[in-house]
Amino acid sequence: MSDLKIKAKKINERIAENYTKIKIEGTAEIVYGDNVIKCRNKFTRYLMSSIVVFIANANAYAGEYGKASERAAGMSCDVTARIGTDTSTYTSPDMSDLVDKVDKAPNSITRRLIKEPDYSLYIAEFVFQWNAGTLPDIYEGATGENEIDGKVGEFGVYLRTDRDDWSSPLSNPNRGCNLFGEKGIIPLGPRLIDSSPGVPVRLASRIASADDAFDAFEFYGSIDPLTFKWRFQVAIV
Amino acid sequence: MNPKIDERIKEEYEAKIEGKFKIYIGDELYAKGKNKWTRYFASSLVEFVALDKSGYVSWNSGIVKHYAVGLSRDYTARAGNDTSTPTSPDMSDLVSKIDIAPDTQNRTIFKSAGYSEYLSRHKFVWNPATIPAQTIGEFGVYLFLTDDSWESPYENPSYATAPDDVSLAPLLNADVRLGARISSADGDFDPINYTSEEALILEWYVTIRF
Repeated sequence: MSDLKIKAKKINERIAENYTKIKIEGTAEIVYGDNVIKCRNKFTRYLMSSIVVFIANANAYAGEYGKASERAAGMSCDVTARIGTDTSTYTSPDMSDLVDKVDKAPNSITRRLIKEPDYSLYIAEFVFQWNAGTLPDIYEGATGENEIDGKVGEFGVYLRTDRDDWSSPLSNPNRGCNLFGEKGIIPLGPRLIDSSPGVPVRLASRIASADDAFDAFEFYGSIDPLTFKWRFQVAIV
Repeated sequence: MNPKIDERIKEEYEAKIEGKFKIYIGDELYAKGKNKWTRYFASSLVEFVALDKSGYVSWNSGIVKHYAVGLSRDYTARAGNDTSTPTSPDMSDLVSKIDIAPDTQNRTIFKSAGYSEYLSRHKFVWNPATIPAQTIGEFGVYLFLTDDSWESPYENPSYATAPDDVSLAPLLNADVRLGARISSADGDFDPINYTSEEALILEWYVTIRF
């Protein structure tokens, strides 16, 4: 009888816990040649700050401009990704860029919203594709032109994020910015009044071999394409 | 590997968002605990992350001041009478809402020194006599949220909601909707026999930890 009571209590606790937490996870899939690597990212402070600012923002004055039309921008305005060759630096929340970035943009980027029918899981999925011939050959001992001595050791996803330069506590926040260049306004800050937006793309997520997320690997970009799929998952649990 | 170590490693790769509440009657803390979330809140977060830029929205007002809208546009809270209906993620409103707005409300964001925790606090105060005496069994926090009407999968989303002639939100068909519910039916607190003699205060905290 007492066992039954204990079990019943555990079930009650589980039911009570339902939908009380949101788990945010960044998962990744890296595909090159016949290899598929599945791993998880670490987030930066800029992404977390952006989420809390977005939740608490009401109406953020983004500027006064000579037109009665505008666009709204999300964090994926100009989203991009990069690979890097660092294999020894742990990810810290205040990293705003990869440690040793190979500054070649993906050839194609696809964004996708996905959800489970029971509303328990929401996903923003990004597929970054580098065609063969876009990235350099990266291997140990490389000395040639368009070659890098080392291994692929880090991946980064870059989103429009808040600069996280606000002082805590901040009452009744209203952080907004015009991104200029026909890109619209975004409810993140800071707002600058010249043509240099306060919300450029910054490192939001890093996947690093130094964090044991994956084993660093040699990659021959002259002949192989590289696909990097990143999923920002919001699970209600 | 030791399962506990596995769990710890897994935890390091996750961020958690929790909604917590405190209910005060006058100066006295009546209850505290965790809210339950709705689909509209979760969907709004992923929409904001995945959205590029919308097409141009034109206004006829001639006003050229532009405002970017966050989830707390027109935010508010309500109390309700229901004591028997558990929360489900597709609830867009309280079950038995007492449609009386708080007399005062404010928002504040905080962060920890090591950037490992970010927090927003929304505080709602109903003065004495604002809500008539009755049983209170639920509270709702209402935010400016998507209607979550997109079909999954939705490729390369780019849209906006224009709630007025100067403002834009990077969300689909956004409006003020239930984002979090605190309910006696879920065991969050014991129903309140509210006498209306003292202020009713709801503090709602969203913590993001990683």
